[in-house]
Amino acid sequence: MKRMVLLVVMLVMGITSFSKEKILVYVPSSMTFLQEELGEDFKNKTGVEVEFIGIKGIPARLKLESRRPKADVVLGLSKVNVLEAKKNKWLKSYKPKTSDRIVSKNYIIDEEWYATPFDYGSLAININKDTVEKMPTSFEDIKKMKGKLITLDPNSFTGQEFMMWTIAIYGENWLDFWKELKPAIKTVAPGWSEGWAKFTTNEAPMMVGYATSDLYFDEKSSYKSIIPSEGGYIYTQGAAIVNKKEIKEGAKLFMDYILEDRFQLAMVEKNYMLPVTNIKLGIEYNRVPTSKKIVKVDKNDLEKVEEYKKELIRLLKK
Amino acid sequence: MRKSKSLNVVYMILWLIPLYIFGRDFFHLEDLVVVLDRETLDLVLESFKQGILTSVIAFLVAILPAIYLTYKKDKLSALIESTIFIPFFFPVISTMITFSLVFNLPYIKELGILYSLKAILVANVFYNAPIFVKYISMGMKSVPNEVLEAGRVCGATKYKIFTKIILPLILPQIFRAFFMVFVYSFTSFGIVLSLGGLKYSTLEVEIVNSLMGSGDFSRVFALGIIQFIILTLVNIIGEKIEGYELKEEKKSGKLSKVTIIYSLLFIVFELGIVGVNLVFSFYNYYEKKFSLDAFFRILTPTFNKKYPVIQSIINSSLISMSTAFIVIIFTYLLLKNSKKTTTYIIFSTFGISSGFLAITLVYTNIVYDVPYIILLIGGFFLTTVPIAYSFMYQYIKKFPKEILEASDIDGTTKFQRFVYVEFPMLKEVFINTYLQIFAVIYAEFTIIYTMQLGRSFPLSSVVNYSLYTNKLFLESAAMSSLNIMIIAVLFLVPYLKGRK
Repeated sequence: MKRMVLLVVMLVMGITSFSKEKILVYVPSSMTFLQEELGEDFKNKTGVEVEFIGIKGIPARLKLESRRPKADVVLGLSKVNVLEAKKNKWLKSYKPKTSDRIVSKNYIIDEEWYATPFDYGSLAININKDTVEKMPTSFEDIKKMKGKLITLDPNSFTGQEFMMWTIAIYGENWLDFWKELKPAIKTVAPGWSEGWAKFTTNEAPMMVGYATSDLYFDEKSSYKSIIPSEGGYIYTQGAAIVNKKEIKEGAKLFMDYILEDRFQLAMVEKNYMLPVTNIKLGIEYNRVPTSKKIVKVDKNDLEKVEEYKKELIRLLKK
Repeated sequence: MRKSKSLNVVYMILWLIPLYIFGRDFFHLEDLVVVLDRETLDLVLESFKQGILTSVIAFLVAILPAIYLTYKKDKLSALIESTIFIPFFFPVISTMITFSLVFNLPYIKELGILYSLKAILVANVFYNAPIFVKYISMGMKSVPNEVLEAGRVCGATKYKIFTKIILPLILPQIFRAFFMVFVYSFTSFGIVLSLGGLKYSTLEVEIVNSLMGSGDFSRVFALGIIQFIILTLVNIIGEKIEGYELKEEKKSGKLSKVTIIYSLLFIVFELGIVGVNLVFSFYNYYEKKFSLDAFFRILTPTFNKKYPVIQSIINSSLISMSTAFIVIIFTYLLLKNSKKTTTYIIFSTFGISSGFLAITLVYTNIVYDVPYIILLIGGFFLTTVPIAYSFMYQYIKKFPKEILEASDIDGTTKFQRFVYVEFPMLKEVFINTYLQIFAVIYAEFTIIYTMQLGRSFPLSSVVNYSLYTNKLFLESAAMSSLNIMIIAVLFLVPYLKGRK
């Protein structure tokens, strides 16, 4: 009997202390919907409470918190971010138990599992076709469309990836391309959310965005995306455990969770991105433009990203 | 230690603690030299350009309404006078949203104002012209009537009276307004960010962008020092200007049609922008529909689960109320014991970048777990003491000495003297300053935006901004209107009651 009581007490204590665990997850500001979408589900499955905080500039925040990290997990890291974070020991390697669900090795961001891919997408130019005389098909066409394009601050995630896309296409002449593209730029928005708000209120007919953004509108809408003929650019978003003195069990459980169907489905339906696991996509995904030609950035260029950003910002300010 | 010294020291220490903690871990002295490059020079020049252009244009825009306000006392002059609530009460976020919508309207869009220097200047002038109106009209009302009469008797024309008599006498007032407007425009963040864009980055915008982007904190610290030095110098110059000891006298005279029509247009512009914000909260421009739904929607539990509108309004109100209370008490004590050095210390803090202060507060939380609520109150306290100091200065410093001496003779304690003598006479000043500080904190954007508190501590201006960036324009405008109403009630109720 005594043993039974002890067991029950231990069990209750265990459950209480376990259910009290709370993890903090930093996400890009466009992904704060996760709280409403998955907060409860994750708690029900694991007993761990999760709080998502939208942060602009997650790498900068990781640096700020490097002495005493607050976040347990960060989402929305690019390959470049992971390289920097790994170098500075801001991340902890963890291979999720669900990692075998990733369908292609091409999605792997880091071989040592300092980051785990959770979705991917193709960059594109979103266009309101009713407000342009002729749909462009290439970057060369876009360059000629004066004051029509909303681009993004290279310090933002999407802005940085767009810069990398142009580097992948134009190589060492990428800055010359930007010089020619400059007259076509209507404004440089601080980030994707701000740019999207401006684009969808018709401030400009084109925007640097994602191919999957077409899904946001119905088939008959005038918003369409194109992938310029010079080549498409695929990027993967990663999640990582922050290198803290004590790694919470909940953080690991969350990393396992991001590759489960519920999370992957949320990425598809709410984040308008593509899953890295074998989730069946709806027929509407047939509308998303694709490109046979995919361009990639050299490893050397990945290491020079901060230098490139400075050069581009200098040019955009002129 | 003298009380004034100890209060100065407390204020300085409060500033230095977060700056020191951040600087200790991230700042490298050599970056102060490295940062002195062409890029920084361009930022400084752009900040100066926007500051000076705004000040000059706002001054020119304000002259005729100020003349109207000086010579007339009717409904229009009351409206002109009421515009002073705009720079101190109208939320920056509402200005950003309204101008974005206005500049995007048909025909206006064709002018290509949005994302240009013009857009920044128009919004800055909207914000700051009322400051000039207030200062110029105060100056003009103080010009002795007999001096003006003497000028007229000697046969001087209206133009000559204005340029040779009025202008020299009101120059100190103009300079004071000029410095105030210059500092506000120099440190403007939200307007430059949303209406100008990267190309028009000022020092403040660069500081905030770097904090969230490149994460080059040492460079940011160095830029913050440069901004501090520049604005401290500007403030010292501003403080050197002393006004004439003149009392306001009633003025009357005939005004030209140009002055009357222009003053009307001024009101249409200033109050029109406020009105547009209200209209957009129940008129969906993109769907061409009128509806009050947005007002109700932002108050529903479902909506609040996603966007904590109500919680953010409560948080902002509580933070503003408590901080304003602390600020008023502290500033009163400071002014009672202040010396010239106090003024320099207080005003030098105008030069500290709000974005930079915000990140040092976040860092203090990271390193020492100081709760955000304390850090927010502390941050707002530091940034609003100079405002309260300038509002309360002349009333506290020039409180009739004979009254205080009489109470001393009656044997009152300091506390009794405050309760029975000073407070009843200064009540209006305390309440007005309290409301102004409340509104400044309530509508603050840069600090809250930079701190990125998210759902852990939602505050009104950032929740409003998130509605806007999530394309919930009606809801965003409705929340803006709600905020304006809260603030307007605070400002207008005492104003309409005919406060003196």
